Amino acid sequence: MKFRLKITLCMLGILSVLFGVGGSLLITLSFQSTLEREKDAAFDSYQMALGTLQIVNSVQGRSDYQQISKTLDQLSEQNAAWSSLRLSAGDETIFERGAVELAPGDFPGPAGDECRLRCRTGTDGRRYLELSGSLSMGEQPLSLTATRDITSLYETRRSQQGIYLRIFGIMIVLCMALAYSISYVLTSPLESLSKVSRSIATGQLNRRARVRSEDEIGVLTADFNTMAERLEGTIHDLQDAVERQERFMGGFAHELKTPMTSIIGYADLLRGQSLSPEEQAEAAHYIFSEGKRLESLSLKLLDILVLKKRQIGLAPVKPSLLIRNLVDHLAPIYAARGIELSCRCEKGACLLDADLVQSMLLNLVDNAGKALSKGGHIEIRAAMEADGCRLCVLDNGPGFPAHALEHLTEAFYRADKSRSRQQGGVGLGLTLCQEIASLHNGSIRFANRAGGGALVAVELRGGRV
Amino acid sequence: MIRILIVEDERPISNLIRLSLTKAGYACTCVYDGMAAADLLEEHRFDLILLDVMLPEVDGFELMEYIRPLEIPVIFLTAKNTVSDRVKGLRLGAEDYLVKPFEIIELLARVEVVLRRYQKSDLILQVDDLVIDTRSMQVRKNGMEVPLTKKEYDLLLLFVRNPNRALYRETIYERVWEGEYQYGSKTVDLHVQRLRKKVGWESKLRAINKVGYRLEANL
Repeated sequence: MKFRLKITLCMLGILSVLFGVGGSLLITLSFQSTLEREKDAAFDSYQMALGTLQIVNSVQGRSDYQQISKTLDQLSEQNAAWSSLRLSAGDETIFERGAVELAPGDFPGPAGDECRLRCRTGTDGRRYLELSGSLSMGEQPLSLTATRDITSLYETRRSQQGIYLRIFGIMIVLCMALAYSISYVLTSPLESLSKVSRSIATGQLNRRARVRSEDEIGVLTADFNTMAERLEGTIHDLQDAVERQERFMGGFAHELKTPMTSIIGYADLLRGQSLSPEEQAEAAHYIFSEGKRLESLSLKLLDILVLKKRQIGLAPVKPSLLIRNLVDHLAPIYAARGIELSCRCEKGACLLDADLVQSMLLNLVDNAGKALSKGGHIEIRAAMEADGCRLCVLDNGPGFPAHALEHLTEAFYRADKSRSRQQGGVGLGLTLCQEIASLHNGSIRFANRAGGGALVAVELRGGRV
Repeated sequence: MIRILIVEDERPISNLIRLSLTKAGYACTCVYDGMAAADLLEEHRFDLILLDVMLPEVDGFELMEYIRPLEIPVIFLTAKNTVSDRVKGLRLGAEDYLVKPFEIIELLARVEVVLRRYQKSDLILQVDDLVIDTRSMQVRKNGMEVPLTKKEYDLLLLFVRNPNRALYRETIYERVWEGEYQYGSKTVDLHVQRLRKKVGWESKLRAINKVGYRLEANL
């Protein structure tokens, strides 16, 4: 059953009980008070008749039934409210007017001179008030019984009840319509919320419900939206991860299969014994160089794998010393290629893993060196920061191609594939550098210098000493 | 002569393919990126293109769009082995899809099949005094028909298409019988001996110790 139907039915139930009880109470009370008034009036006029009879009796003296009958006749003519009037002495009727047949009931006859008042039903179905009392005239006790028709009272009550029932019916219908529309308005945000959640379940992750109020439903909607937001974020992250993984696997497959194709192919040609000696030498050369390429790929991959599992060993190191050491070792090698290698370092020590940082710098300098020709210049700079240090490698080469900047740290990405291949690169150097930087809670940035040349800035946040 | 364009940026592989195809009697041209391939296609006519998918600048799939109107059959060479990549390649109109690493003999067979489909391969092969008509599958020696079984015919074709090349027993078995070679099986030797006798190539079909056989022919 729908919630709005439940609300409607509840409201309808409560209303009909309260309205029904209140209405019938009102009708009953009003009927009671009218009846009471009628009784009072009947009693008063009965008392008057009784009093008149007493007076007539005392004036006339001895019991003169003739006179009394006459008086009663006059009285009942004056007061038309009486349906019947009967005066009897014992079983003998002295005066009777307008006989009324009453349904039999177990009522005791008048006793003493008290006046009795009873509601009775006539044999014709009408309602009567019966008053009976006795008056003493001489030795003979007389009893006076009067009935008064009060059927109109009951009829009024019945018609009131009829009207009330009709009003009640209309009210119920009105209430149903109102209650249903109110509950419709109240529950419609729930419906739209459920619609949105269903469409999210079918994959439309960017759908959101509209928050229309600040009540509980509004809060629920807002909470739901927050949840959907988080969920969408998580799913996107997962998708990104899967995509990265796929790109990595694609790159890896390519890097692995290309040299394998060459090695297998040239080996096959060699064993086919159909090559001339020059061709044999060429094939052997390719097998060797492609084998080397596979070797360097596997070593770099191993580095990355080890790095990912490795616990970093932070120790107080002076970056200036580390860099100077590196430059002293490398400068002669680069000098032979006509490239100048220099450094400019701030003094100070910070916490880092010297081996890893050295390997990172080697990679960066190597990268820069590959881009340079004779007359090139590479500079390593170190600056101390609050929570570590900042290392930069700058060169005066051609810089990074603009389209390559955002892909540089992706595994197997190479800005210039054929050139990198000739220089023996496998496209993992900068991936390695980024891994090392992130092990130091740091980051790596690539940019082109305004005056030409590339700039690689590494932030290492291992902490200061 | 059938001309094949090799579009492959990896020089070792490009060179390998050129070497093998040249040995098999095709004329090869190598280019190393998509743009160069498009330029070359404007000026020259080729019978077949071997196209690498991962090329610098214009990749193989993009280049395929350019090649399609030229109605030159294309075989994709790629390291990508996912079903979606294969489907994409074939949908673009490639004739075949060869996944790296591939063996040279497989490449040659695929090239052969595609060329035959386009009726560009030589329908009549001639080696010395032997003429093979690949349409009617008839072999004639000095005008006299030589009756061969299906396997012997396939074997002959394999040797003729890979002349001066040592063919290993397992390679021969895999190509002709299309099954896994059982070590020590004499099936290949038996058929080669019968073939030798039938076509009179006792000296040309040379056994190579512990390896297999080689057809020595002057093409």
